[in-house]
Amino acid sequence: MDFKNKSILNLGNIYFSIALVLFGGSAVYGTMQYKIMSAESQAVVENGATRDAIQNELKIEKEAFQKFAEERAKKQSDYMKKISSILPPDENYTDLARTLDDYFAQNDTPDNPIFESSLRFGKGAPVSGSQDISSLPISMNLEGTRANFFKFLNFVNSSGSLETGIRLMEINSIQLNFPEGGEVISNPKQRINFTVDMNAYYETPKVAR
Amino acid sequence: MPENIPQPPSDNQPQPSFLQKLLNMKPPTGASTGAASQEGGAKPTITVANGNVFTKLFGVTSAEPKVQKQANPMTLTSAPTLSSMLGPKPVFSRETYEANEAKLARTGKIVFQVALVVAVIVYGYFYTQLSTNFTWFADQLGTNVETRFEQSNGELQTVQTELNLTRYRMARLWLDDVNGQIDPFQSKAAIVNSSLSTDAQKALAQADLQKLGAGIKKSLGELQKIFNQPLGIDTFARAPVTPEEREAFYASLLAAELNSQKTALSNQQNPNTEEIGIVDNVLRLVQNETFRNTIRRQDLANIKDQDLSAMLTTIRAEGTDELSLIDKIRKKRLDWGSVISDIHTIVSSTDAVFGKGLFKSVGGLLFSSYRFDSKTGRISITGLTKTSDSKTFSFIAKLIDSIEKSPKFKDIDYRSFSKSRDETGDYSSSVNLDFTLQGTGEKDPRDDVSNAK
Repeated sequence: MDFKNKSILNLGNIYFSIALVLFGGSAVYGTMQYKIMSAESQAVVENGATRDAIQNELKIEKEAFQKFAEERAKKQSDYMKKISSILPPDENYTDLARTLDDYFAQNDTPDNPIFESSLRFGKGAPVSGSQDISSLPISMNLEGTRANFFKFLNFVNSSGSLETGIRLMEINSIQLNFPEGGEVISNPKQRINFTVDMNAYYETPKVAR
Repeated sequence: MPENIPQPPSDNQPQPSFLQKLLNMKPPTGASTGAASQEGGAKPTITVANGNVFTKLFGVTSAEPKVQKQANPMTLTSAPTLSSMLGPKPVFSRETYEANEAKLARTGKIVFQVALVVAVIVYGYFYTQLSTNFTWFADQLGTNVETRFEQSNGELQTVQTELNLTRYRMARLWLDDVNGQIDPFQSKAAIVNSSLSTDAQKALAQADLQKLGAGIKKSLGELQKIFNQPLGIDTFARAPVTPEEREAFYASLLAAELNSQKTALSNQQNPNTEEIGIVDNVLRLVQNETFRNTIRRQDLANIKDQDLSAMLTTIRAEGTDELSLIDKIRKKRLDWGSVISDIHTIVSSTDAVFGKGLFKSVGGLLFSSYRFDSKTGRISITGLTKTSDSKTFSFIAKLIDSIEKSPKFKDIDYRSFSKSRDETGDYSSSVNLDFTLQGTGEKDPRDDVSNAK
C-alpha cells in the first residue's frame, strides 16, 4: 500500500471540518442574534414605560398649550389680523383700491390737494427667490402738492409694519414733473404731477385655485 | 580535473564502499534473523538475498509473537542486530485501514448532519423571532420579538411626534408674541438713540423700552426652554445612531406630520387659510434649525438693551415667518424721500439759491422733472441752468463733480454741453443728468474722501 500519497483530505476529515465550521458559525450567529433579541425584548418593555411617561407629559403640555392659546386668543387674533392686513393671503386688489382711495380722500384738502387720476393693477406673481411672497404690480397717476407727494412717499415707506397695519408696498419707479415751472423746494404747495409704479405684496396662496 | 578530488582505484576491480559493505554484510552466527530466529536459535541459513539492512530492520512478522529468550549479555560473543532490538515488524493491513477510514467517514457524516441540523435550527429560530416578514403562527403564538419591537418603536415615535407638535405650536405662539413686540421695541430704541429726540421723549421711550424688553426676554426664555428639549428619544437600535441623526429623524417625522395636516386642511371643501398659515409657520420653524440655534445660544439673563435690539434684528433676519419675509422686503426698499433730499443737498452746494424760487431773477439750476428707478438705481433729472457770465459749462461741470464725489451717488455721465445767450445777456443751457445710487458702504474711487467723512 502506498502510504506516502495518503492525504489528510479524506472524507471523514472534510465532514468534521464542515461540521466544525457549522458549529462555530451557529455559535457566533446564535450569540449575536440572542443578544439582539434580548436587547429588543428589553427595549419593548422600556419603550412601553417611556411611552406612558411621554403620554403623561403630552397630556400636561396639551393642557398648558390650550390654556396659553386661550389666554393669547385675543392677542393672537389681533396679531393675525395685522399680519393679514400687511401681507394678505391673496392678491386682494379690491381692498387695496379701497385703502388707496381712503388714503387720498383723507389727505385731499382744498389748500393741500392730492388727486389720484388713474389706478391700474397688473397680474400678481411670486417674487423670484422668495416663493412664499408674491407681488402685485400697481401703476397710478397722481397730481398733488409737494407736501402731499412727500407724505405719499412716507405712506408707502411705512407700509408693512405691524404698527401702521398698512399693506406692504414698494415703489419701483417714480416720474415727476412740475407743471408750473421748475422745482421750488421752499414751496410745499407747489403742484407736482407724478406717475408711480409700485408693488403691493401678498402671501403666495397656499391653496391652489 | 582538480587535484583534490579523490581518484578511483587504478586497478580494474573497484573496492566496495563502507555502505556497500554494510549492506552486503552477512548476519553473524547466533543472531535471531528472519525465519531462522523463529526456529529458536537454529543455525541461520537465510541470507539477505533481497533488500538491505534498512529494509530488513525488523524480524519476520509473527502471527503469535513469542517471547524470545534473551541471551545472557555476558555470554554473547557478537553485537546484537537492529532487527533483534526492534522486534517483529508491525502489521499494516489495507482492510483494517480502509475499515477505519470508513468508520471515520461515517462518524464525520453523522457529526456533519448534526451540525447542519443545529445550524438550521439556530438560523430558523432567530429568523422566526427577528424578522418582521415571519408572520406564521402569529395568531397562535403572538407576534415575534422584532414585530413587537417595531410596533413599540412606532408607538413611541408617534407619541413623541405629537408631543413635539404641541411644543412647537406653543413655541410658535411665543415667537408671535416676540414678533409682535419687535417693531415697537425697535421704534422706541430709535427714539432713545436719536439725536433729534428731546430728553422727555427719550425718557418716555426708555421706560417703554424696558417694559417691552422684559416681555421679549420672558417670551424668548420660554422659547429657549422648548428648543433646548430634545426632539428625539434615545432607544435601542441595531445600528449606532448619533444624537444629531436622531434629532434630524424626529424633526423629519414632525415635518411629515405637519405636511400631512397642511394637505388635509388644503383638501377641505372650504379651506381655512388662517389655519393653513399657522401650520405652515410651525412647519417653517421646524425646518429652520439655524434660527432655533440662534435662540438657544442667547444669554438672556445678561443681555443689554443694545444687544437685545441687535438680537431681535437677527431673529427677524433668520426667521421664516411672514414678518421675517416682510422684513426682507422692507430692508431692500428704497426711501425715495431721502434720496430726493440728498439730491437737493448736493445741488445746493453748487447753487446756493437752488429751489428757492429765484431762478428767473438770479439764475442757477432749475429742475423740471425727475425719474427714479429702484430696480436699476438710475436717477434721471432734466432741467435748466442760467448764469450771468459765459461759464455755464463750468457751472454744470461743478454740479457733475459734486454728484460724482458724493458717497451717495456714482456713475454720472454727461458729455455733451451746449448753451445759448438770451436777449438779456444771460447764458442758459439745458441739463439731462443721468446717474446711479451708490449703495451704503459701497466704495467708489471717485468719491471725495473728506466729503464721505
